[in-house]
Amino acid sequence: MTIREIQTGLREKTFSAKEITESFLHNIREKEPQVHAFLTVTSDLALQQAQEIDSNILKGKEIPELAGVPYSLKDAILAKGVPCTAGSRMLEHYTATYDAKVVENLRNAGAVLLGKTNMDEFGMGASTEYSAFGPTHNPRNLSMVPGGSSGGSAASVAAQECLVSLGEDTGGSVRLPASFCGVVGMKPTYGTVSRSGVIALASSLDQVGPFAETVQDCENVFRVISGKDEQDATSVLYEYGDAVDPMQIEGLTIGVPKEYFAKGLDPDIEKRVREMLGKLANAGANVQEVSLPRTSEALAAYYVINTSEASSNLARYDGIRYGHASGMHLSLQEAFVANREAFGEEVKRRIMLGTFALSAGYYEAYYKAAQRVRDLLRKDFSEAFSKADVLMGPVSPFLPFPLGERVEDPLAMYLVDMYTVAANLSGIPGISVPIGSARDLPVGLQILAPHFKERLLFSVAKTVEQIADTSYHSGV
Amino acid sequence: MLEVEILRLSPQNDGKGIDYYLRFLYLNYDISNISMITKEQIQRVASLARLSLKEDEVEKMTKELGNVLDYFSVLEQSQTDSHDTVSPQGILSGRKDVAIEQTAERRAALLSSLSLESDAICVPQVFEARHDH
Repeated sequence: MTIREIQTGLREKTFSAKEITESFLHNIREKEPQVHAFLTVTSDLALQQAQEIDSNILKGKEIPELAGVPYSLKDAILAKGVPCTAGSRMLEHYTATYDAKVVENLRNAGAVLLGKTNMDEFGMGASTEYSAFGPTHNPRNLSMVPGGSSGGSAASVAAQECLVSLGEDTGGSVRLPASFCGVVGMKPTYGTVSRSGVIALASSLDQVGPFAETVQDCENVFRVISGKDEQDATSVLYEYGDAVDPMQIEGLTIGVPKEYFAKGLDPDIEKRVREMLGKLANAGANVQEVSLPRTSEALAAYYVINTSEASSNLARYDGIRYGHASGMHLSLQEAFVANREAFGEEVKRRIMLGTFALSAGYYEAYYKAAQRVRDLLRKDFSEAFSKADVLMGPVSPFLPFPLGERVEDPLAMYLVDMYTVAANLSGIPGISVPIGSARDLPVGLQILAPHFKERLLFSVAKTVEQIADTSYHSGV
Repeated sequence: MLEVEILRLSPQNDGKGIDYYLRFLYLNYDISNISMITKEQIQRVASLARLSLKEDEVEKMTKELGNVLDYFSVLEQSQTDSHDTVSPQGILSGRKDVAIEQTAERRAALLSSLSLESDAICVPQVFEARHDH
């Protein structure tokens, strides 16, 4: 089912919004015991929203563009009256008091919220195993991780528990799980989507992005959630416009960063990606090698900046301003320390790394050096985009890996983000589109475009989607 | 499986362990000059971050952070390699803080969830009485 089919069905009265909602809630009941994509299911709220839409349609009111579209929401994004945990014990009992701007936009467009999805605690992780409430399983193969940190969102779309979802991408947290679960996931240009009402991980990198089964649906959601918001000073005046057509490939120059095919990339992923590049070349694209020489340093710079910003952002969870309160203490210092026990292991590790990187004597060597690399990386990208219209490559060096494999090895987990963090550091948009499978697991193609070239990005992604062979079995 | 994958990709298996290959294969740097962070440093950072670490956690954190910080040293390398001139603040130059007026509705929503006493917000009691003699 697609958004367009829902629109047609509602208009022609083939089905009602309530019927669509009930059918997806049924899927959730059926699949959740195996997948565990959701932390909260908002059945009552969803049915109520659906009924409102149906009664508006009966009254002959105009049908808004996402009317009756069932969606799920990463548990780091606030929806009024619904619990919001960010995957952490720290916020286990927190209920949101207002809607995030993106949720307000979706509500106004008629989308129906089905629930909140599982995630790595505060977005810190690449597998959804660092959730305080148990891992999500990859619907394509239940013994594998769904990727992270927005793993619940990607899995909920892949398992057909909802039609579209919103995740949040700080270093690949939308594109990676999209690729692992075989769905489309997009990270917008920094500033095109409001971060108001989104629980912050690293404020200069965070950006909300949509998941869907098709590029068209993903584009549709992006159009609705993007635009200026007075509550987020980093958001910019932006209007996407109407849907784009698939790109005429002839004459398009595709840059292929050679560093993304270096030793370490799973050879079976490389084979799939090269196959797709070959097909595009046959269709008339000019496929050219380009260089992003600071790929390895970029990952280090990313983790310095991510942990530094996270350690400041998470200072507010002291049990007094926000979060878990552990009872009575003799001093404020004692109370803070005791309350912050509610953080999980990876969160503590990142707060420690960030605090260290910002501490006297180390600031120059780590934080400042990372900002310089970030600056140089932007230059690398403008150089690459002076030669190519878009860049293409793998999303990650790895295929979905078995649950438990990397949990105990932070560096091995960080490496999963190798090819995705650069887009966040430089602020450019990117998308992961399914292009088939390797060893029976989904493979995504990452497409990157210059700042604010979302129309180009979606247009090229639609062509890739048409060419790709994405027949693989679903585990559930 | 990770280990298998790495050994499969490695040119030779000389028993140097998984950490060595992680760096060698993916990060292009040599593990030989490892700079260790000390347990005392870990404890100092924990106190700055208002975190309490048990003895075994300190041990584990020292090793794990040592590994990651060691990898971060590629940043220093990139500084000496670069002849580009960049602003000392990097991408953050020109950044300025902007205060945002909260909308009346949102302020009301935030306040409605709290318990208030005239102009003050009530929070859970934090301190217990100290019993000095």
